[in-house]
Amino acid sequence: MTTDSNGANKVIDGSSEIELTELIARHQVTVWRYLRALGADAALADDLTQDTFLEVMRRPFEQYSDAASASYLRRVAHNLFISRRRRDGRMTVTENAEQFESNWMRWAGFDTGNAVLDALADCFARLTERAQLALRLRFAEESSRQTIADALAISEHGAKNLMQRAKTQLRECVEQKLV
Amino acid sequence: MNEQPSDPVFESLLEELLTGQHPPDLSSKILQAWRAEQASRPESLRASPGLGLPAVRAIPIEAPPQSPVRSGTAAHVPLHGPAAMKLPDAADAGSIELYPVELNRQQNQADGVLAERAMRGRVAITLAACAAGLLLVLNWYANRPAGDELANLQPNAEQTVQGGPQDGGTASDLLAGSSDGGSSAQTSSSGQVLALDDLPFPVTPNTEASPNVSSSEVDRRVEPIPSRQLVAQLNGLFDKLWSDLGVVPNPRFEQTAQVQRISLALTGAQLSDSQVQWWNNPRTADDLLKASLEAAHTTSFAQRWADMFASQWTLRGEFTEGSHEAADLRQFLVTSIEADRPWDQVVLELLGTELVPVAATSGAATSDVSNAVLSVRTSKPEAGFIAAMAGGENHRLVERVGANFLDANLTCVRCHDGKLTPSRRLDEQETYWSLVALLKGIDVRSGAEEGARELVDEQLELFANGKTASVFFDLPNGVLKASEARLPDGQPWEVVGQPTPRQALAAWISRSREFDRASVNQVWKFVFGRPLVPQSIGLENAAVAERTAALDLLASQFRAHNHDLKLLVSWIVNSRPYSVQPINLNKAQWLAATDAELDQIQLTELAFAAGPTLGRSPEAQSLEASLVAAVEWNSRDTGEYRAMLAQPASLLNPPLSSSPSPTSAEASPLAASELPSLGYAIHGERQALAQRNFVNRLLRADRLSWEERVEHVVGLSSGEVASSRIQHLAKVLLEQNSGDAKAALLRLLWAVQNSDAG
Repeated sequence: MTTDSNGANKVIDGSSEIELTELIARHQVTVWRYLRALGADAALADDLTQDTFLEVMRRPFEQYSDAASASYLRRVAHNLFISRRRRDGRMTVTENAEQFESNWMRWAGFDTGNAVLDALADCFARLTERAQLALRLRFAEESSRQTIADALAISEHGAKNLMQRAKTQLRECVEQKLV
Repeated sequence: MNEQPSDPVFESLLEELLTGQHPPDLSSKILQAWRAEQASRPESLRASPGLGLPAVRAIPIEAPPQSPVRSGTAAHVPLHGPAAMKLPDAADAGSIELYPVELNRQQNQADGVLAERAMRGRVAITLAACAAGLLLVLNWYANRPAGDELANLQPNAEQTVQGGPQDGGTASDLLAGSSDGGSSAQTSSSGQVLALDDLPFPVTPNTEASPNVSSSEVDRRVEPIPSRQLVAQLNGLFDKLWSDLGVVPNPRFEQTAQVQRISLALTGAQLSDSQVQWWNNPRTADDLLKASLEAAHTTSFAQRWADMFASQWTLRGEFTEGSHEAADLRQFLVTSIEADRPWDQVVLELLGTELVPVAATSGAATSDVSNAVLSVRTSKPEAGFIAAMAGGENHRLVERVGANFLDANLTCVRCHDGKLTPSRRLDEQETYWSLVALLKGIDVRSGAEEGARELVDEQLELFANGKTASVFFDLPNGVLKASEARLPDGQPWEVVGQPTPRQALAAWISRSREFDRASVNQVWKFVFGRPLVPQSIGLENAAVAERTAALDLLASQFRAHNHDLKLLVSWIVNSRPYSVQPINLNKAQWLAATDAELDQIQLTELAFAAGPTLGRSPEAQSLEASLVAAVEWNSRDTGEYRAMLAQPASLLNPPLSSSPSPTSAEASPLAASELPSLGYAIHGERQALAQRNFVNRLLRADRLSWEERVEHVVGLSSGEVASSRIQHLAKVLLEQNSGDAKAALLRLLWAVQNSDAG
């Protein structure tokens, strides 16, 4: 991917649909997840992923490595996301790109995030049923903390603590698996 | 979800895991956008053509390391081997956009294969032209014109001008091309397969027809089944549906009560004493069916059903109820029903009637039809529908034609492809705009007298000598696109053989399967209060496949029985779902019921295992009334009602299993107290997953304001618009829910689905 038959770096300039297809196939998942992590909802992530690739294809760039290309794409995606949020008059707390990038590298690294996701699934299954229920209500049902507390017959503060502990355990478990 | 996560990447991955919302495969979408962008740029600014793209290409690169396959993600697009990714090519996108075909051709030229392709193209053209010429002659011979112009307007099941072969039968069948309209290949008369992508001319309109609205199926014949047998089949479908869902149908009415209900549904009148006496003795199902048909042949039936159709069809129209125009339209329907006119012909006349030019003041007709002006008040009564809906680019007319006669809610597809219905051509934005183009030249302007409206028909002039009309519209991504006047299946209007596009549309509709389904759904709605299969099918998916099978059975038999409205109504009121009792749940019982019991009640009603009346608030006749019910319910503290459970058990009615009569329910002290609408309590509080997903999608669309979200929800009701009053009530709901947009929109959604126009 990174070099042609003569060993030279490949220049992506939008002239070939095959190259564009290849680029999309390799990096669209990373870009989409990156945008979701920035705070974009699924529909916005769809839109901005498309915009990111179009933006990149409009200006030729040289591919040194997959990692470099991914980094470039993430930077473009980040800028597009910030622009969109500003245009919509919304505050974004992830404007510190470096800090966010470091957080991204911690979990997704040079991968698309699939490895973490797989580890996460294993670790999640090890949580207690109550902890699983709390997180499911929180993330899948978007329930309020009070609703979760009611469902578990505990106080709101107890629900908060339970979820925090569960997430900490998940992080530790995933980190161990990825070592 | 209000606090900011300290570890956003980890949390977003956790959210992905728990919601199952994985990255979609956006490859084709991005490539199409890229192609569109390239095509819209001047030649000199485009990227160079690059390599020609075969339809399927395995990309010889090393794929990045992937984790095991996770459904729904784009990370696992295969890059090697037989499962290699299929690039979106002209055949994929050509049904909507023509430019990929053009692009493909340019690429072929760049590859130096033009000469070979051109030769193949010439051969193809020659073959196609010879075959088409021969078939045209045969078709003309088989379908020689009848002479009378009105005869041309009338549907003829034998006529296959727009039909296609199912078994390669007649010459006229072959003229219409392959029955799988979505195929990218066409079979010549010699059987040779010609790849359309290889032909050096644009894709012909026939190939654009969606398989779901294939015109070929329009003329497929179905043998009529005797009414008794048909009702038995319908009952069998519902028995299976209930069994599959684990729903126990409510007890059936005893014979006399059932006949009373049928009489009320058919004629709006109670049985006479002598009739009641006759029905007090045991009678057969055949007797009931015969009696229904007799009742359907009375003037009361014609008046009642004409009223219902006229009210439904002219919803949102310019006519006020009780106006002269509404009365004329109603009288036209009464006469048609009394005269046993096939329902497709009634609708054909309604939509395709000649708009005879009449001077607004004198009412004198002229012979010049090139610029016809119709004074609504002096014209034919059947023109009333067009007159009530036309004007303002005819968006209302298109939407109401869709809702009334095509069984399609076209409100949403004005701005984007439909997302709540199965993929079919009618739910595409381009189809909507092609219908707008098709009705160009029909307009309304102010009459000579104050408040008078005159219908203008300039289509003969506008579409004379092969001229066509185009309209421009914005795609969701902001790209401007043109759409030409086309029939709903994508064919040019001229193929129907009518003098104007509007009349061609009328003829097409009256012959279509969509019209059959729309008619059945409307009659079902008049009887049961809601359609058998909703137009926004994506929001109510309880046993949809089985309900669709029942709808198809009734629709095909409606056609087979020459669109006999009286038969259709008789079948439905004699069906099992109409013979079962409604759920006699009173408010006290609702308070005492468990969630599981209420869930079961909801399912029972959704599956038509309980007779009509429940599931809809008695007051919910309009969206506004329905919305007021939701606001009223929302304004109270549910706990206030639940607290009533603490009252002595003697005050509560017997448990659900004992099925108390309405009389005993009303006698309960609690039933008389102020409690919310049961329709809302049962259905409004139990949203289906599809409904929640719909609202979530709306909320995720950041570009939409609150008012636009309300418009989207109200748009699901083809008969209503988000008026200032509706917007106000929706805002009240938002305030009642402390700004929780999701809760408020779900309540609004219930109101829309619960209203008559929903």
